[in-house]
Order: sequence, then C-alpha cells, then structure tokens
Amino acid sequence: MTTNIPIAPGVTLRALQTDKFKTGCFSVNFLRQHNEANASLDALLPSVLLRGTERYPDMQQISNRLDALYGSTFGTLIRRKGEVKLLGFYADFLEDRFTPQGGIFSGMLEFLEQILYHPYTEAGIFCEEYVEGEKRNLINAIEASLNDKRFYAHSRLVEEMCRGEDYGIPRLGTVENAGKITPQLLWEHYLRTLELCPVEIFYGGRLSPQEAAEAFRPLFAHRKQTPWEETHTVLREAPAEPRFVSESMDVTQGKLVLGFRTNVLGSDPDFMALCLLGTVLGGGMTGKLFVNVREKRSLCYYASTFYDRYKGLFFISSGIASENQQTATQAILDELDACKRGEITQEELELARTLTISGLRAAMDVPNRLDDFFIGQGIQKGPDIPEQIELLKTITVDQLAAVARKLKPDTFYFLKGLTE
Amino acid sequence: MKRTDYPNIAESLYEETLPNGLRVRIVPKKDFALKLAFLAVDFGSIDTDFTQDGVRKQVPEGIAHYLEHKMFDLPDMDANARFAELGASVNAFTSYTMTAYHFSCTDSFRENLELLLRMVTVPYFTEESVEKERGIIEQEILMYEDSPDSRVYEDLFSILFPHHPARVPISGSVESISHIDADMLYACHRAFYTPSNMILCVVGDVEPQEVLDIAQGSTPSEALPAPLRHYGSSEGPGQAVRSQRTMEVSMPTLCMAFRCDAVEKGPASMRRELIGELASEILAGESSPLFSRLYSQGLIDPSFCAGYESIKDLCLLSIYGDSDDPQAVYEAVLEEAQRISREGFSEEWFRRLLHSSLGRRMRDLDSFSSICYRICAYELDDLSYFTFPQAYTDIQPEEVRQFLAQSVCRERSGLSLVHPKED
Repeated sequence: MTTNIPIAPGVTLRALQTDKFKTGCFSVNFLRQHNEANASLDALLPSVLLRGTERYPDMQQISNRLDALYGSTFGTLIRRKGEVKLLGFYADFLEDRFTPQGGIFSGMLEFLEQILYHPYTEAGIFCEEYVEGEKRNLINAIEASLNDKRFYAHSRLVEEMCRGEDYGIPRLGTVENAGKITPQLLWEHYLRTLELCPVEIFYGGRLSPQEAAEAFRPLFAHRKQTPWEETHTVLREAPAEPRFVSESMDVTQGKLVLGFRTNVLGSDPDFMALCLLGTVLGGGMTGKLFVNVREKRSLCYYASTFYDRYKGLFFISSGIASENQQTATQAILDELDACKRGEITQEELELARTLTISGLRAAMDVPNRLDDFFIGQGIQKGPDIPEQIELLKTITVDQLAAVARKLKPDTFYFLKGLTE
Repeated sequence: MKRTDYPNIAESLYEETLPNGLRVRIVPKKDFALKLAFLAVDFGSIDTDFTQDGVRKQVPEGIAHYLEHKMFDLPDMDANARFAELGASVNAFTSYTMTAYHFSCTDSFRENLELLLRMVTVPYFTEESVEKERGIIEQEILMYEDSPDSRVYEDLFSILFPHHPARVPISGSVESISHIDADMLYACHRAFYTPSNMILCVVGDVEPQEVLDIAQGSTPSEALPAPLRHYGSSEGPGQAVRSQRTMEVSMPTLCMAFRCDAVEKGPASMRRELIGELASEILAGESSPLFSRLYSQGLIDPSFCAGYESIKDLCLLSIYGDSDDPQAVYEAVLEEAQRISREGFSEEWFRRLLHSSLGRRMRDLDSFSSICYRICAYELDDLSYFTFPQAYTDIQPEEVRQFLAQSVCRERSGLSLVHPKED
C-alpha cells in the first residue's frame, strides 16, 4: 500500500499515492523516548516553532500565508505510541489541480522548511515572548485536562497505573516542568531534536512515492549519520491484586475506568484477537457491555474499550451514576469473565468481526486515519490493513477466550460525583 | 433522474423527488469503498408547538431527541443489532432544526439502506420501552450538564433568545422529558416523519437508480403534509445580556454572540452565510489584528475562534474561547468592531480570506458526512449546496464592513461565562 523510501540519514518517507481526495496531506514526525525530562520540552517546541519564522515572523504573517495557500492547515503534533514520542507537524492542503495556478504543495514545503529550519530568533535563540506565551498555553492545556471528565478519568488511571514508567508521564508533561523552560533550554532542545531524532514522514496525495521523495529530500539533504536517539517500551506484570483509586469532584455523572495489562503488542500473533475482543466487549451498540450493562441493566450511559497496541494495555471506561459504582464494576467484570470462559455466541463473534472489518475498510477512505496508521507501523511493525482483514476472518471463540485470559486487572479508577 | 455536473468542484449530483414527496440526493464517488446514507428529518428541538389537522399541539422540550433514541426500535428487531450484522456503523443526532439518521458501510449497502428507511418510517413504541429510555437520556443530559462547552453555549442561547424555543437545550431537561410518553412520540412521528418532510442523501460508489428504487420501495406511498410550526418571537432582549456560572474547569470559558438580522431563505441566506463567515474572520480570525494582539497579551489562546450560524430566523455571529480576563476580551471585540466599521480593511486581505474559505470548503468535500449534512441543511433552506462557489464571485468588502457595523454592537450582544470554582 505505502512505499517506504529512506530519503536521508535517519529519515523515512511513507508515501501513499491516491487521487481520490481533494486534500493532500503530510506529517513530519521527530521520534524520541517519552519521559519526564523531555515531555514538556517536546510539547512546547512545535508550538513555539509555529509562532514565527524568518520570512513569516508572526502569527498574522503565518495565517496570511496559509490563507493565500487556499486555506491550508498546518498544525502541531504531539503523539505517543506506547513510550515513543512523535513530535512535529501535519499539513492538509488543497490539491494543486483544483486551483487556477497550482503551487500549493510547493508552497507548503517552503513553509515547512521555514518552520523547521528558520525560526524567528532574537539574539540567536527563540524570543522570550513566544516561549513565554506558548508556555502559558501549554500550562493552560495541561490544566484543562480537567474539563473533559472522561478524558481526565482516563489520564488519572494511566498516571496511577503506570507510576514510575515513562507511559505514566502525561503526554504534555507537567505544569512544574513546563514552568522551568527558558528560551535557552528550548533552543538547545530544538537543536538536539533536529540533529539526533529519527524522522518519519507520511505523504498522502496525487504524487507518486518517487515524486514525493524528491520533493521532501532537499529539506533533509544536510542530515548527517549519527547515533540516533533510542526508543523503547517497557512491559510490566500486573500486581497480584488490582489497586483501586477513587476521587471526588463536583460532577453529576461518575466516570469509571478499569485498567488491565495484557502485554500483547501489535507485533504479536494475538494482536488481532485482542482487537476483536475489544469490539466484542465495547464495540458500539452491539458490544456485550452496551447490550448487557447499558441496555439490559441501565447501569451506565456509555461503556467502551480501548486497546493500546504499543504498550499492551487494555482499558474499559464507563459513565455511571455514582451510587452504582460497585454494581457497575461487577457487571463489567462479569462480562469480561464470560469472555474468558468462552461464553461468546457465534452471533456476537460475527457481529464484532463484521464491524471491525468494515471499520478497517472504511479507514482506507479517510486520509487522517491513514497517516496515524502508517506512522504507527513505523514505530511497531504489525500486519498491514489487508493482512489484518484476512487475520480477522479466521479468529475463533477459543482464541478470543484465550486472549481474554491475558487481561490482568491492574488498577481501577473512579471519579465520583459529589452531588446527586 | 436529474444529473448536474459541477466541474469547478469536480462533483456531480443526482436529484429526484418521489411521488410521496421524499427528496433524494445522490453524490457519486468513484473508487471509494465507503458508502454513506443520511436521512434528515425536518424536525428539531425547537419544533415543540405546531398545528396539524387544524389542531394545535404543544409537546415537551427534548421530544425530538427522545424520538431519535426510540426510532431504533422496530416491532421485530432492534435496528442497531441488525445494522451491526450488516456491517454498518449507524448513528443519529438531533439539532435545533434537524433530526438525522445515518450509516456508513462498505458492503450490503442495499440492505442497510432498506433498514434505515424502514426504521425511520415505522414507529414502534411501548410504554415500557419509552420508560426504559428515560434513564438513558437522563444520563446523557447529565453528561452535557457536566460539559463546560455545552453549558456556555446553552446559557448563551437562553439569554439571547428568551422568547424562542432555542433557549432550551436540545435534549431538554430531566424535568421536561419526564412528561414524554408513547402517545406523544407517535403524534410527533405522524406529524413530522412524513416523506415530504425528509431528505435522503447518499454519497459513495452507488448506482443512482438503485438508490431511488430502494427509496421508493421502502417509504410509505401516501404522505401527509408537514404541520405548521409556531416558534414565538425571535426578538432579543434589546440590550446587552450576560449569564455566568461556576463549574469544575481550570480557567474561565467565554462565549459571546451578536444577534444579526434575519435573512430570507434561498440565495440571500447563502450569501449572508459567507458574509457572516468573512466578517468573523476579519473581526477575530487568526489573521486578524485583534487575534494577534490578544494572543500576544496572553488574553486568549489557540481555542479562540469566531463564526457565523443561523437557526431558521435566528442568526448570530459568535466568538468562543478560554481567557483569564473574559471582560477584557469582550470589550476588545466591541472596540475592534467599531474600528473596522470606521476604517474598513484592505482589499488584499479580503481576497486572501475568500481564497482561504473557498479552499477549506472544497477540502470539506472529502468528508462524506459533511457533504450529506450540508446538502440536507441547505435543502431545508431551499438551496443546492454545490452552487456554493457562485457566492464567492461577487461578494464585496463593503457588504462585509456594513454587516459588521450593523451587527456587532453592545445592544445586540450576549456574553456567557463559565468560571472555575474557587478552592
């Protein structure tokens, strides 16, 4: 599907040629280990770079440039795949053939070059105003994780469950560490990032992979071979007894999140079975949790599963009335236990299978989903989409039960409402 | 079927109205595996007072949304489960003016479409199933009540349109939905879910005639006329209004809006939409002097955004964002509007914004759900969405300046605030 082309030392392009869309896209990602020391620096760097360049020194000039490129989007990216951090930028733009003069893709590359290599500087480093302004935004963003309670509950669970692991460090780092960043420190971090981080680029659009490679190559022509920053993801065992953490907040609906370790990664043979189990349990309106816990017993408003293939963690999250905490937890665990015993009907299996396969087929028609998928493949090679579909077709109830037994409860978190 | 090609946006549209009044719109997309069908009913949360067969009826707030939940029950099956068996991903939503049901799939398109049409046209409610849904919808309402973004917006509507049903949240309240029963749901279904009050839009690699045949075969042949609706006054308070509340948030959130004059349906509303969008950009968009200044001062952050929307006769230009000093932002917006009204803005900037807006709308055509939503929403306004590039050709900066001068002023404003709790 995609063609992988090394275009410079430590730089790989994954290109997908397609003429189905009016939008072309690319993302440029610098890879490094996500840890406490660099989390906030990584989170801050792309936003400061996007404040100004030599040619487009302030936000107004930048906006004007993107407006002139027919409303192209250029944004920052801070993603995590397990304990691997990807920081950089994405761009969505109108394909050249839809404008009278063209020149949009080449304009975006020129813009990318400005952002990556020609930041606006004062006295040879980032200017204080931009760094301080984006620091404030970063701190606000970290604090705003409180606003979305579902997201907040998930983050708190991960923090508790993976304490002492890089995975437990919040994606954007902490307020405390963000506060310590100076223009000088960020500048040094910027130079290290350019020099030492491997780069993954995704391109989706009308150009052939070779044409795309030629277009991106000059941007990295100066890169020299070096010992690249290394990345790794650590797997741990769950404790003998699950831990339980509860907090109160003035919310009307309680949020329950159950965290499990499976140590099944995207590159493991069990990978697709675990994906499918996630759908059997939490897949839309036919998953066991929706049908049995929500519809039959009215114990929750939503119940969904999330499997992180990069770290082998599995989560079940649910919105419930606070007084139902114990009943709802037990009801959810009962459904999981039923899976472990192989109590999955043929119908449930086929429903989940069809849903998963059609989701994968549809994903091929959505450019952003493709970017995330193919960039992820660069971090942890698993089956590609057609292979996943073939594997899904063969999975049996016994395989689902076997993989369900690999779910080891680690930590349960409950965000309890104060008022009823 | 009537086919129209729009070469400048590389799209085509098939159109037909069935004898029962159902409007069918099809956008062919070659080489896509994904197919999307979208059935829009011209029935939204604001339609709570109407006259049918000479009888005036008032129904509880939140009933359109309640009905949306209950349409998934069929006498012989749960439609959700059947869609899942057929490999479709199905969903629905209710807005102020529309209830929409949509599915996407890659296979079994015919069966899925038949099911969608049957599900929406066959009402089946029992007192028991209606009762059971109440708890689920209550939980959904509570979830919105915990969301600062929903709250700040709903509060704004409640103060800006005190005499209009849009003052109430789309899902109603726990109290209002407590009055809903099966009979009321049947009455609303009979009144509004009539083919002439619905639009079917399909996007994907499909055979247009086949879609039409399915639509014909799966909808009732006879149809009632849609009822007459009563909305009350769209008048605003005639002075600046504000609302505030405290919630568990990290910093204050503000949403301010300006009530704009209503425009008639049809081409004038499409033109107005573009004028409103450009005016928002010029006033407070990312390339505006105001945005740059407030951002540098740390008064706003990347969440800050401005836009224009209309809900039938209600038109508003709104600005949303987080800020530690919402009052200063509010005053700065008013001041900037006055300055622009006086001094205008450069033609060059205006042209750039036109390009930008056009480019983004073109890119939006990659999203099947966005195409469907827009085609249906425009259709409800008697407009054909794909004609949008036309509006870009003759719009003048002076119209935008005048619109700003007239609409963005203190007397027309509403300011809604959500403050963090004091520790």
